[in-house]
Amino acid sequence: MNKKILIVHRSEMVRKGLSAILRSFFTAEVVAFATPDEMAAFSSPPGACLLLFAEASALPQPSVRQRLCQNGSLKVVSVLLSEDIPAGELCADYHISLHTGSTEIHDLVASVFKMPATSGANGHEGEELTQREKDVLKLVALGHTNKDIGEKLFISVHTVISHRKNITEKLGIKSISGLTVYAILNKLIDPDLIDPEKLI
Amino acid sequence: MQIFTEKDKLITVIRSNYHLLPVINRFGIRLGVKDKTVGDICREKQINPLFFLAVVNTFHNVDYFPKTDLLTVSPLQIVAYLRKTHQYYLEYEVLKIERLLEKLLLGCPTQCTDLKMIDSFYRKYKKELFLHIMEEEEKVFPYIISLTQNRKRIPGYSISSYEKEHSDVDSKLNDLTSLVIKYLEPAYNDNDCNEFLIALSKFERDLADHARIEDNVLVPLVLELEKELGDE
Ligand SMILES: [Fe+2]
Ligand SMILES: [Fe+2]
Repeated sequence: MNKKILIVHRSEMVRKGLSAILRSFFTAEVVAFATPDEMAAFSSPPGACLLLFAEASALPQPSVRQRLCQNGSLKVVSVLLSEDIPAGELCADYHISLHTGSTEIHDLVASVFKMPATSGANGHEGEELTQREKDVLKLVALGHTNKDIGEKLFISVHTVISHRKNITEKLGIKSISGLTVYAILNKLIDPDLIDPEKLI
Repeated sequence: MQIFTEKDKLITVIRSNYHLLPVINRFGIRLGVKDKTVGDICREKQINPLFFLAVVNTFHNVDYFPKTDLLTVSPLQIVAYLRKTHQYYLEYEVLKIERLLEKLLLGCPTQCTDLKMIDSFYRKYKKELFLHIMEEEEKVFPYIISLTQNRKRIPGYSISSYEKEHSDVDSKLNDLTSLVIKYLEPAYNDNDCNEFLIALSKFERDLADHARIEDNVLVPLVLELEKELGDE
């Protein structure tokens, strides 16, 4: 996913220092602005995952938040002058101060971006398959093409493809042989009826 | 995040992460490092310290990838490192996982249909990985070496034909690990299975790092070189 880090701060020292720290850890693009007005010219790519570091006076209004979000996600970190958090600080998701160490900054950014470990963290993983999806999966496991599957189940190839996409998302398994093993382990197909060696 | 520099002693690097040992070996560095720093050993072995550190640091930190640093390294050095990595996979890692899987199967008291499936999956995966590595060793790398050394395009060949196919090798291993964790039947030996799974995920991470260097560093470097040398 497209990740971007934005900084809005009047102090050049803070902008440059923070960018340098972030760049030493992450490959995500870092864009710095002195004022919220400057940031107005910034348009985020749709679906991007944004992280905004802003000084207290530059924390974004809800309308700006919405504009930046663009069906992606946005998290806001308030950059405070000292370590005590002012009361009524509501518009930020996280806080750091000028005393926050680079390791903490790193940990914060890494957790916001949820750096993918191995299995993709998507919203549907773990959901149960529908009966239709099980039917499709069974045929995929048996080695049928999308066209075959469509004909057997009386659905369009397009529908088959969309079922397959959902199956992969829910199970977190991408390869055909992985899906075949899944189907056998979960008794969707009977290993006595087919030769698993040939199938995988 | 811990980023090593030229001033760090090798013993510090190794103690921080023992998984770095095979990575360090790939540069021809072996134990008996005394109190030498990364800078010392790089000078001694004529290794580009920038490349060494980039490789070690990306391996140590999943989120760290100094692409701009890496893009200054010669393709020849990168190929040499990747070849050593292949050799490590073929001669050691793949065989080790196979042995662990065999032990796991032997220790299973019942029919173990599930483990047998995992075993078939792994063997099929192994074949594909071998083919992929052979293709790189026999076609891709020699192409890159000749391009870099002779600075002349070879008619009918471009690196772009080789760019696409990594996702498959990656996702299969990921699938395998997930299947074991999620759906294994209880009739297995805990310790054998843990050892197998840990080796598998270690390999998965090593491979992902390897593919990342091939896709994000080697391929762009060669594309740039191809552009520079003009049409075939
Ligand atoms: Fe490779
Ligand atoms: Fe490769």
